[in-house]
Amino acid sequence: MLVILLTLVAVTTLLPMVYMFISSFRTMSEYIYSPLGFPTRFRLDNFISIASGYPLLRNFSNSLILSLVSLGLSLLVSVPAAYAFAHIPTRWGSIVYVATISLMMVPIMVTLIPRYIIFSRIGILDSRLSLYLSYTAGALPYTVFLLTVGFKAVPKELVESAKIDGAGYAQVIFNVILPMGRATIITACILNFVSFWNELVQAMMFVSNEKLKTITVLVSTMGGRYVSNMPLILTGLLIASIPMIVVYVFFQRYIVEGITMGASK
Amino acid sequence: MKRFGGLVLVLFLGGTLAVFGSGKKEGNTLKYWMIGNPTTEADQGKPADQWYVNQAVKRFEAKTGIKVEVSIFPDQSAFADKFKAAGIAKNGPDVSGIWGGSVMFDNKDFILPLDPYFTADELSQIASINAFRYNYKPDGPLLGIPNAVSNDSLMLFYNKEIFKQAGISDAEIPTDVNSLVAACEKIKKIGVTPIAVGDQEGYYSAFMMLPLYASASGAQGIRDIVEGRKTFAQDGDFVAAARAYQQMYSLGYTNPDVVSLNDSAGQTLFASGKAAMIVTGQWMIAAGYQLLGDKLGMAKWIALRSDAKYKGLMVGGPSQAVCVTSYTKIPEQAVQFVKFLMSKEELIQCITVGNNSAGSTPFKVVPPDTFKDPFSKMLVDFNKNAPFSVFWLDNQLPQEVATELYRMSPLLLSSAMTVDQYVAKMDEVMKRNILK
Amino acid sequence: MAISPMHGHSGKTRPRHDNLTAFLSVLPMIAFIVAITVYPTLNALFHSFTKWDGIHVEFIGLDNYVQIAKDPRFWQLLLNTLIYVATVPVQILIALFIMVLLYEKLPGWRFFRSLFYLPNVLSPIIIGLIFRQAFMWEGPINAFFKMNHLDWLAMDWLSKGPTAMGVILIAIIWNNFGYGVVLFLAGATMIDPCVFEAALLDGANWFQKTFRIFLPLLGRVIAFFSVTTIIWIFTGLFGLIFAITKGGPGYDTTTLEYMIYLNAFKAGGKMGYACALAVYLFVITFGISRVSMLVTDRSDR
Repeated sequence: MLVILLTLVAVTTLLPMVYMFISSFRTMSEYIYSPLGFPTRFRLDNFISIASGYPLLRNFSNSLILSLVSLGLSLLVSVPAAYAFAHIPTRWGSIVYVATISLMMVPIMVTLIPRYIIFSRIGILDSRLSLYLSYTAGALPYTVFLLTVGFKAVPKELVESAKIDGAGYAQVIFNVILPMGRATIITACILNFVSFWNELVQAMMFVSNEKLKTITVLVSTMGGRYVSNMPLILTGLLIASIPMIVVYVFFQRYIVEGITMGASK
Repeated sequence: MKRFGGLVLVLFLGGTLAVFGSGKKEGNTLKYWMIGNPTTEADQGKPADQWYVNQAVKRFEAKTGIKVEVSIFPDQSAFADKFKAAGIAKNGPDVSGIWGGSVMFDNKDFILPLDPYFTADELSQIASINAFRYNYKPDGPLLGIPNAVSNDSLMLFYNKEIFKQAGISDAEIPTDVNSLVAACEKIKKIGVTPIAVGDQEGYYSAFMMLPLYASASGAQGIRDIVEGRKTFAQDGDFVAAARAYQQMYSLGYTNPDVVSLNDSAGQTLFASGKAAMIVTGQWMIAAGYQLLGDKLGMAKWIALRSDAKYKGLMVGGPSQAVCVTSYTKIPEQAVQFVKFLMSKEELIQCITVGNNSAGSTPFKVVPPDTFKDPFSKMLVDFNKNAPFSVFWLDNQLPQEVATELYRMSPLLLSSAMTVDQYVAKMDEVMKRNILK
Repeated sequence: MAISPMHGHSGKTRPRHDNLTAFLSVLPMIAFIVAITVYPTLNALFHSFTKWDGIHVEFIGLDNYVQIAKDPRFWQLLLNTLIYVATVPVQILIALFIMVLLYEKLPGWRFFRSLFYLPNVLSPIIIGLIFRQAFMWEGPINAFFKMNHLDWLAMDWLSKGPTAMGVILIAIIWNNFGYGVVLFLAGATMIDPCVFEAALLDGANWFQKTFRIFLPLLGRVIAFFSVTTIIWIFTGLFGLIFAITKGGPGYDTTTLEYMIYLNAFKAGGKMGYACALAVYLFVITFGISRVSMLVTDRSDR
């Protein structure tokens, strides 16, 4: 009984994606005739059109580079800070921590306009750097939060004993904190990676150069261009969703952990 | 875990290098930014060295020794933002294409006035040159020279075959609202959509409604409103035009999804033969001819009434200009390049070799038979023999009012708003933006 | 980055050394945040009192704020956003329902949980475009209705405000309910099974089990879900709206956040006005999180 209900809900959930998947194998005329049907033959025409009509590799690599570098930058900045919040007691520590966390709820739109103008003025507007900076700043509060929680779970004794053994700052981090907090770090990585990849507004506004567009931005332009060839658009959407689905399939454990950790604050 | 941190560091460094590696080229090259057209030569599959612009640049370099670096921007809607951002950062081009009207005026600070570089004689060779003077004032600074083939015209396109099937003779091709209604009824009877409208962006109020208004009020009407001498509500012709526009949907003369269909989808609707008519600029000729061939017919858009004062007027005008930026380090060379593009030989080259979407040119020096395709000839005739011509009305509106016009168009058309509500809203925005 | 500790510090110098290390550790983060988040926010606040097009700045005091408050369109935007927020109870119900189904942890439950969360990893623009294609005039939804002689249901969903909004509502629910499932499941599994056994001994049936035991204990998790989702609806729906309706028809499906985008980048640079809108938005979201914190603090006995 349970299983039946579950399956029903699962099928309903999958419907939009099934629709996208099936339509991508159909031709425009088939679709116009009957939007709801199955393909008569499994043609790859749409895939070929999309692949040849767009420099997909370039957009994918843009998204990849952007997400990875922003990720690296975020970690570079958050790890020391989280370590300090978790293991270096200071009088001002909790105030700064709370202040940082509370920045989580600053809407993107509030900073978007000033960032746009500031980036124009210093001339980095149409470059990847503008996005690296913007994304990292946006990810910092949540990342610091996650990492602090994760690092706090590393027993103080371990840190102390490492210091007694003469470990320096960097060594403590690399030999104690990072290995023990590995799960949290990977969670933070995955969550940030996904959100960077899927981000639209900033990527759209800060970078208009065709050569630097991410796959997400590319998808947003497709909606307007090939409106009449619906299967083609759906194929584009399908191709664009594959990376995140793949990431999800492999890393879902970490995503789930990250969410639940956020909830049990 | 040292590896992990190391990896992070490498990523970061690599990223920064990638960013700064794509560095800026300095030197004495002239940077030219072009706005891509819907039917660019790239789309037609021509290799880059056969494109008009690249050939022109080679000729210029040979003649003057000045190197030119061309950048083409296919995304037209983003171009205005890009130009402004480049202006703020002062890292933009030396010569650039730019849309006329509010886009150009908005960016006035970044454009070099060209009056010192041109004699009155030279300027008299260009029709509608005042369209590129600041705020359209005849004594305002000249901000740009029209693009070679930029004389856009609003036209009514129709499918000759559908008209024949519906029994519409040549004499019955619509010229005013009444004859349009008659034709649409006939087309409806044979089960075809009479008019294709893709109004998600709201352009069709500018294409269909404003020209109706202009046919009764001429060029002065819109100026009166924009300069605050009259409101939209007070202008009976405007209200009548809005009403007529709304009726096209409510009487069932358009496709049902006008609100959610976008402009290019609407054009496809017509070009694929599923609708009998479409009202848009002459850029429709290229796509239309490709799909409909000889079935494509072109006529003037209708007037509001059969006795309208300005019946037979042409709406349109040069919509794109070439300008010189105010922050260029090489103004003399930049102007030299602009004059080169304006020279008779280059104009003829541009028209014959380059952009093939038919058009007409505002440059009087171009012999009329340069345009070889039948539609261009028709356009030249229409323009030459038009009793009146009016510049694009939406371009004449202040930008905030134009935005409101576009935004409200689908609501008016689909009767989600009444005509009175619509006019009131337009007046509300206009009040804040009166041009002095 | 590496700071070697000095040799042989006594208990007294330790705190000072700690302070320095801690300070240097958080310095990059603070520098980043101040430069790229705090400064722009203050910048936006400043410009909200001006008329600004990116280049020219003209101080006009509270004009923007007053104009916004007087504009009926502003209240329409808030109403729109509230309508979107009305999906939250629906999402909660759906997520709870599924959570109950999965609670027994029958074999394969992890697979189902993954499935339900999958829509959340997709980019909102992709989701939006799928739904847009589906509900277009010539799309499968209308075709489905026509095939089953329900022609009157087939309409251009995206051309009238209420129905366009309906499509967005469905998209929001589809996108986000999986988040609820994961969250509630995690919360539920933290509840001590002894509580249930005690209830069973007292003769509680399934209905009572769910409503009188589960829900109150899950309260905190549900509250967390609600707050984060509501804030997301206020500040993060850009992708969905852009994909499905671009805010139209007119402004019928626009939110306050989307309006900021329209005003700053589309309407010919009313950036000062857009900044004022942004400040309104900030105040509202700040208010929501403040209120939520107060409520959860009070209910935590």
